[in-house]
Amino acid sequence: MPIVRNAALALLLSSASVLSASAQTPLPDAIAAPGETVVLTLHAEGAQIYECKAGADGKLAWAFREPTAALLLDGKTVGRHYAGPNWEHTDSSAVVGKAIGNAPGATANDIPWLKLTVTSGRGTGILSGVTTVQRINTAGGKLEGDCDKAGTYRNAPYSADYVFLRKG
Amino acid sequence: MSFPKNAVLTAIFLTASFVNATAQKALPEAIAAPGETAILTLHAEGAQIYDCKTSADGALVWVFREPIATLFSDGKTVGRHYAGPTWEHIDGSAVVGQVLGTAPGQVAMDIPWLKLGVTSRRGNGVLGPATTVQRINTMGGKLNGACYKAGTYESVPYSADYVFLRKG
Repeated sequence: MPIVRNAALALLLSSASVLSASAQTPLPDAIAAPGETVVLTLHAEGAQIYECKAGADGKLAWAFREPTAALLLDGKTVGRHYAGPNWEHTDSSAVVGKAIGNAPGATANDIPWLKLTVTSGRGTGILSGVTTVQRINTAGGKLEGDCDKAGTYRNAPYSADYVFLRKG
Repeated sequence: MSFPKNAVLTAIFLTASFVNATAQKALPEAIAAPGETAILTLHAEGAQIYDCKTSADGALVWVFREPIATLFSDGKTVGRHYAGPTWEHIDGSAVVGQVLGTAPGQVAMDIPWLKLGVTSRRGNGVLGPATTVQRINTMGGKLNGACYKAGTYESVPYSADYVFLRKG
């Protein structure tokens, strides 16, 4: 029995370090946050919302408008991600970020990986004190090309992981 | 000068009544709210999130988990829709509903039209007096069938209109 338990524990520990390694080791320079410490990583499921707009050349094309996603941890819904971009935890802490670096997604259909710096925060909780947010492991969410009617919307489903970090 | 102005005004009124007629007249009985008055109609763009779960017969299937959407009015983002199901307006008012009736969407890929009774509310604002919410004009959002790994998620894009009504 202790052997089985230890084996299970070892498996848990090793998958945890594999996860941690895959989240941190291969990050491209453009979105790396050297010297910062991970506070929390949340999985996001939702959509990137696009709006049909006239571009500089007068042609109608899909333009990114805002994200909408549920933030999940260990099978529980613990927050929401929405226009701002905002990340809001159910403990009421929230941060707003601004993109300062990006790297291509794994395939052409995947939105880029991002590094965002926190520009404001509110509430008190786990996201308080977060200084950087990384968007990694993106799947889907991209929409390009022409559209037919200005003011119409379209959603591209996506998933990603958001890593919240603080200085030091 | 007064003629074109009136013509424009008439056109606006006509459009408004057409919109109102499509929203109200065509509603199937199962989701109708006779005697109630529409307060507000918001357009939603987002995703229906599904969980891969083991069903009673042991097969892995997609099970609806929660919605996530942005609520729009006249091209502006005015709120969010998320698990509960909750509708939250940026004025601070929010309601939670419970399904009372359903009617099929237009095509097999569309989630059903719904009638929900408001079970709780918070904040002061435009949603405060709402007693019923209807989900109409659904597009997309459905996911059926088998999945491969328990605990994985899938986001299916959808759009809909939510009509908020009050008694009397």
